[in-house]
Amino acid sequence: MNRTPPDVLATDDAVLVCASDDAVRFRVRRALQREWPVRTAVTAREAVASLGTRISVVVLDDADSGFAAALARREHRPLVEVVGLLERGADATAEWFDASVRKPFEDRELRAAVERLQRRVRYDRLLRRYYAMANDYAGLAARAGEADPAELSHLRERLTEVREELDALAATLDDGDAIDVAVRSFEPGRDDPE
Amino acid sequence: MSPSDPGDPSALDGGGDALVVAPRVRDATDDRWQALAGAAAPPERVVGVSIGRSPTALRAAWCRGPNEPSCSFVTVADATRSAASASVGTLPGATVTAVPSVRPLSRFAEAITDQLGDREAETVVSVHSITDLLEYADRETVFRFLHALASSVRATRATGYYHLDAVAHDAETVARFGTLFDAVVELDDGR
Repeated sequence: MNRTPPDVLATDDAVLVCASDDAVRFRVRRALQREWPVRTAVTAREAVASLGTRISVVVLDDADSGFAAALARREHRPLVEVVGLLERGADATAEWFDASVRKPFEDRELRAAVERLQRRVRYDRLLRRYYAMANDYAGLAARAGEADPAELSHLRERLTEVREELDALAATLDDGDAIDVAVRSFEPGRDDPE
Repeated sequence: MSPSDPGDPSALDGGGDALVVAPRVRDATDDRWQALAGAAAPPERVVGVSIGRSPTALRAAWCRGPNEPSCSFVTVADATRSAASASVGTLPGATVTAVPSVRPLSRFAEAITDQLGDREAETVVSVHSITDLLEYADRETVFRFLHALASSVRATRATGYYHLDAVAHDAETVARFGTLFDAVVELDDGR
């Protein structure tokens, strides 16, 4: 029935730090490692290779254009959010940065950005699970004569529980984040003028 | 509250939002929507969302009677027009915010939630309709959009009614979108 892995809401997803500069990598790891597992990538190839392994947030040194180009082409976009570490005076509007922190940064500033993006990823994952469950439920409900009433009832109860979880999670998101996460990866070119 | 089986408006006596499966609102003689509102408590305010058509019929259905609520509408000015900004106009007794397009959905949602304050216990949000939204985006996108929108509306304690055209969808579609709301209510044409 539910095809989403049971660890969909795991909060211990690792943060991937992409920086070729040793000092930047060390600084970011030190700021985050007490709250999340931290992996590091020194090259763009390493970064892309790491994305499939329980990474939900990437911290990217914007000074490394190679990382940006590689990650911009990544296929894992729906479930990976990116914090850009920007040089002073750099353009903060790169459309695929989901958050940005300007150097030099405070640890708590970086942690807040990562935490916010972790919540967005959790909402996205749970919404995907909910949609899969709603499809299962709809398929059963449409042929109610053949469906097991107990299974239908159980699924409806689970949907209610998950919807309550989603509402609670959405309430923790910043203004506009729930809508943004809900539609972003499903609306190519959404920021283009119509 | 868990998603209910389709039934009459009394399913909403305990409050909560609903998927309303019904023919489209037509004109000022269409009483079904006011009956729906009366199932809970008469609203003091109505925020109507009209997609792909004029909000006139929606205004006529909601904004009348002895205790006429204050009404504001968000409408899609012209689905095919290229424009970058929203405009504000009026209908008799109502304020209208016209957005140039449903897309991007994030801006459309912002135009709707901008109409809501922090606590809107006596407010009804009437979205007309999911059927029209499905002409602009695929099923999963509309489903996700509606969850985020409905969640925002619930957070303000407003009551949301989300219309699905009764003649345009099969039972599976009704059941799928019905999971997003507290109740599924079917309203007959009645004449």
